[in-house]
Amino acid sequence: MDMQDKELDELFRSKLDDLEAQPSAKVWPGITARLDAGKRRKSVAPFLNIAASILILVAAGILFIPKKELTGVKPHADRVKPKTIAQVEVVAAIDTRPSPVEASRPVKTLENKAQALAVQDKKINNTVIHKPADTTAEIITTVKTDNQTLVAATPATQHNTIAPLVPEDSKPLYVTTVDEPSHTIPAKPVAIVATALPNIKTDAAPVKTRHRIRNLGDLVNLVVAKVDKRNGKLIDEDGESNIIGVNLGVLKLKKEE
Amino acid sequence: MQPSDPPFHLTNKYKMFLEQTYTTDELIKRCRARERKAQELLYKQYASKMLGVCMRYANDKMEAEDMLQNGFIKVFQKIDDYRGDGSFEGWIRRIMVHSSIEYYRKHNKMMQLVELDEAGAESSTNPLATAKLEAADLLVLIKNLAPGYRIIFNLYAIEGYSHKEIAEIAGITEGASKSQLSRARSVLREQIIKMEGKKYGYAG
Repeated sequence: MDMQDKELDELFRSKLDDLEAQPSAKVWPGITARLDAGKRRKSVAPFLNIAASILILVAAGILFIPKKELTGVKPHADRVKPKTIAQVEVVAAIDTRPSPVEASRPVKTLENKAQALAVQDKKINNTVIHKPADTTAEIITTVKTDNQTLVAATPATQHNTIAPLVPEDSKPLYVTTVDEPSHTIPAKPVAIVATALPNIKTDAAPVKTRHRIRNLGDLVNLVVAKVDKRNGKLIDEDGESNIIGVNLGVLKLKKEE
Repeated sequence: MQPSDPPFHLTNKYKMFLEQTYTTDELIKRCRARERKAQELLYKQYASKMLGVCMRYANDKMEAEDMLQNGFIKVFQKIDDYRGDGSFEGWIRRIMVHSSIEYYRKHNKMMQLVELDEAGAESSTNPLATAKLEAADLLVLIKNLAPGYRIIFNLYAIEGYSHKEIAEIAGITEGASKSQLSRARSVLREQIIKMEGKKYGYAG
């Protein structure tokens, strides 16, 4: 063959080495888009990871701690009753900080609290409002509204420590629940609680005593109550539990009082 | 070499004449700072030349533009790695070559073998006639090669890599590089002869 390898190579090199071609207009936008995509991913990813891990930790903590306490109590909890109880309970916890509960309430209160806790857990974790469609009439509506306000209040304050739960909110709830027990709630514990509460509120207002903490459920319940009342500060001021001034959102550690 | 420390005589020389425009070193510096405007200037300065590089590896212009795009993204991401030894254009060019090869690897087109028609390899070519072949014709010939041959031939004949370097870049053995190169050459030779025959045919 006439043409040597080198000749052939040289032919191609000389002709093609300085080959140029104008790229179409879409190439540069494609480059910038991918450069930006890389940047964004880099900047957002760590924050997402942190946020996700915090969320998981909080959720796990709220989920698992009270469940241990609940195992013995749970079996007879229906779908709806505990909800009404829960809501009443929470209201009670919110409003009657200085109430000597153990005097007015029998052992049932313990169970109620536990149940309330369970319900609260569900709400906090899922932020799902159980719609009590299976039961009837006015209870449902009242319960529903109550639940909504409560649910809206508790998780929001716990996470952001911003939204203040105004005590005015809870008072009307109060009245409704007190009014209803005669015709709405056939169950025993609710009636007891509901009737018991107003008295407590009126006479025991200045007293500094509070719920006795019998189990972890009580503790958590109280903490939640405190959170609600105090505009989202997670502060426990009483001597029994030693949590003093934790907080979440603005990062203030309170130690006085 | 520090990123913020371009050769003094170079920048000075350019500054005397081109007060308004960036020197290459300034451009590199600004690209290291991830300035979008500087990146665009750099792209505009080299895009058409580098597309020419990619075209030799691609089957069509769309593929070549994909390679170009990947290559420039790598250029901007790795610009901190440019040490300043060797020309900047050569550095970009190497990235384009790697980007092109990687493109084929990703699309599983690497190292395909084609059936060779050995019969044509014996015939002779007229050097005068081959000189008349245009770049576009040769590009077509290269495109008609199977990707494996095309890559090896490009790397060896046009980019000037050694077989050892090709073996590293393309992930094959040196022997494979050599044999593929010689096959690529014989295919090209054959095609050139065919093409010349056509040209003569058209000419009269």
